[in-house]
Amino acid sequence: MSVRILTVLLLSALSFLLPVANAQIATNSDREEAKWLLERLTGVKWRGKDPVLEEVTRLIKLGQRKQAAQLATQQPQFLNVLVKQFALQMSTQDETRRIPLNDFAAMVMGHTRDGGDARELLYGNFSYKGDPEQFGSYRIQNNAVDDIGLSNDHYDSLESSGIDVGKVLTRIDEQMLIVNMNGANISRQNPDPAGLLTSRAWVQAHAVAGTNRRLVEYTFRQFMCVKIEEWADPLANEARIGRDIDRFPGGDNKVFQNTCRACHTVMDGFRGAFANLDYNGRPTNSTFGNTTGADKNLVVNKMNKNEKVYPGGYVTVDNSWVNNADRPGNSALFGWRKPASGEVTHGSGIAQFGRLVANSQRFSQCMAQRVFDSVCKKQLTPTEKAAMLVRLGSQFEQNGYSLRKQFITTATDVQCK
Amino acid sequence: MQITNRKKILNFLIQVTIFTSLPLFGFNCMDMGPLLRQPATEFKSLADTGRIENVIPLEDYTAQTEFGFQPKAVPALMNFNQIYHAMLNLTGQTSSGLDSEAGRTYVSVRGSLTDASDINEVTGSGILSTNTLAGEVCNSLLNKESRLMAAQRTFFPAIMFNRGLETVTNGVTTVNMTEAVYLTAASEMALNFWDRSMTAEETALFTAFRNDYFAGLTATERAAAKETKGILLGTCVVMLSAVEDFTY
Repeated sequence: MSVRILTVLLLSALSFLLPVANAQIATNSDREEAKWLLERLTGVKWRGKDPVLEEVTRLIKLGQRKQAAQLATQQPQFLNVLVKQFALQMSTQDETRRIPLNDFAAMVMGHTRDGGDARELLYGNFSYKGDPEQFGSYRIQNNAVDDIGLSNDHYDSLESSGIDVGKVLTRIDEQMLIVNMNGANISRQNPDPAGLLTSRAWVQAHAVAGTNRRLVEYTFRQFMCVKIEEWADPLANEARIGRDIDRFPGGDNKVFQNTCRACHTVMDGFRGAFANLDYNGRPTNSTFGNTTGADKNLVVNKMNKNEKVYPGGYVTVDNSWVNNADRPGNSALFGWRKPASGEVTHGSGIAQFGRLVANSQRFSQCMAQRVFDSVCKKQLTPTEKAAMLVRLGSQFEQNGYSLRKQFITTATDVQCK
Repeated sequence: MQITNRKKILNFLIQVTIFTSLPLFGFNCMDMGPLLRQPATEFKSLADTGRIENVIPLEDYTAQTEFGFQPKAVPALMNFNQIYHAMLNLTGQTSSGLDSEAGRTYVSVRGSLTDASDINEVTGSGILSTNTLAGEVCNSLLNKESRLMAAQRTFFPAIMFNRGLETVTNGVTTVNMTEAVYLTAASEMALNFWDRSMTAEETALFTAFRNDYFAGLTATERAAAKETKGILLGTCVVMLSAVEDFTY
C-alpha cells in the first residue's frame, strides 16, 4: 500500500515538473512567447483563458511584438507590481521590497505611467499622491500634513486598500516640507526639491542621524549602480574631507592614506549638496531658519560635527559641492556630461547634484540594468553584460529616458529571453 | 473516524504539494538544474530513470557548467508579492485589499515567502506559506462563484453548490459530484491556472483524490453542501500551489 502511494506521489511530482521542462523547449510558439512577455512585464501569472493573454497572443502571431509589449504595460499589474517593486528596492538602505508603498515608489510609478523623462526623477520639483476624486468608496488617509508630510500613512493606506494605485496617482508640481512654526505644523514648499532625492522615504532612509555621506553613497549605488569601493579614488583631491575623519587612525597617517582617503575624497566632495538637509521624524531643510540643529550658516550641525578629530579638515559653510570623481578612471566609469543647467566640476544644492548624476552615461546604463534585471531575470557573462549596458543604455536615451519605453524595449530585446 | 480520514486526505494533499515542489528546489542540497533542463520527453517513468538525479549523467552537467554553458529560459521564481498577485489574477479576482481574508493571510505569510528570483531560494516554510495563501484565495474564489448563477461562473458552471456530494431521496442515492463533474471542474482550473490540459497522470491523481475524499466521509457528511465546496477547495489549493503557478 505504502509503495503504491509512494509511486503515485513520485509520478505526480514528475507530472508537475513536465510543464516547466516543456516551457523551455516550446519557446518558439506564439502562445509561449505571449505568455512570457505578458508575465514578465506584469510580474504575475495570467489565466489561460484571460482575454488579455488572447490579445497579446494575437499580436505576437502578427509579428507585432512591440504592440504586444505595450498592451502588457497597460495592465494595472505593470505599475502596481513590477514598477512598484522596481522602485521600492531602491528606496531603502536595506534594499528590501518588503516594505509598504512609499512616496519614492509612487513617484517612480506615476512618472513611468506618464512617460516622463526619468532624469527628472533626480532633480524635478514634483511628487505623486492619490487623487481623492478617484477614491470612490475606498477609505484612504489623505491629510497633507499627518498622512503625507509626517508619516507614510497615505501611501500605506493606498496600497492596503486594494485600489488600483497606478491609476489613481496624480502628479503634484511641487514638493512640500512640514515646518513647525510656533508649535503648529504647516506645509511649505521645499526650497531645494530634487525628485526622489528629497522624497520622504529617501531622506528617512539616508539622512537620519549620521553625517549625510550616505546620501551620496546611495545616490551612486541606486542611480548609477556603482558601489563605493568601485569609485573610491586615493589620488583625488582631499581638500573637502571633513574634520570628523581622523587623518592619523591609530597614530598612523598611512592608514588614512591607504584606507580612508579613497572613499572620502569623492564622497565628501559631493556631500556639501546636502548641507541643509536633515531628518527629524520628517525631512527638514535648515534654510527655513527654524531648525535648532543648524549653525549660523544654516548648515546642519552633523555636517561639521566631531570637529576635534582633525581640526584642519574641511568646514562646510554652504551647500556647494565639487566633483572629485573627475579623474580619468572615474570619468570613464561615470561618463559625466554637462547638464543643461550646471557644471560637471562643481555646483550647489541637491537638485544640481541630481542633474549631474541624471545626465551621466552611467545613469542611463544603470536604469537599463535595473530594468533588465526586473524583466529578464537572467545572469549574463561580464562581456555580454557590458555590451548590453551600452546598447540598452543608449536605447534608453534615444527613447527620451522613458522608463515605460525602456521596459518595452528590454522585454522585446533578443538578449532578454 | 471520519475526522481521522479527512485528516489523512488533507495530509495527502499537503504531501503532494510539498513533494511535487521539493524535487524542483533540490531538497536544499540536490541541484535539480539538470532535471529542469531536460526535455519533457525524457521523463517517462521512474523505472526509466532509476534515480531522479540520473536523468542527466552528473558528469555531462558538470562539463556544461564548467565551460560556462548557460541553458536559456530557466524559469525564474516569483517573489512574495508577485505570488499573491499571481494567485489573484489566476483566479480572476482583483485585490480587495489587505483587509480581506486573503489580504490578511498574505500579510501573515509574506515573510516566509521568498524575495529572490533564483529557483533554489525556495524553503519548506515558503511552500507551506504558499499553500496557506492559496487556501484563502481559493476560498474567496469559491465564495464568489457560489454566489453567482451557473451561467455567470468562470470556473464551476456545472457545480451545484447548494447540494452535497450526494443526495439521498427516498432511499435512493444520487451522486452530484460525479467523476465527470469533478474532473470537468479540475480541468477548468488546469486550463486557467496552467494554461494546459491535465496530463493522464494528473487526471489519475485527482480521480484518486476524489474517491478518497468520498470514502473518508459518512453518508450524512456526503450529503452536506459544505463538502461540495470542501472537495473543490482542496483541489484548488493543490492546483494553485503547483510550481508552475509561481515560476515564469
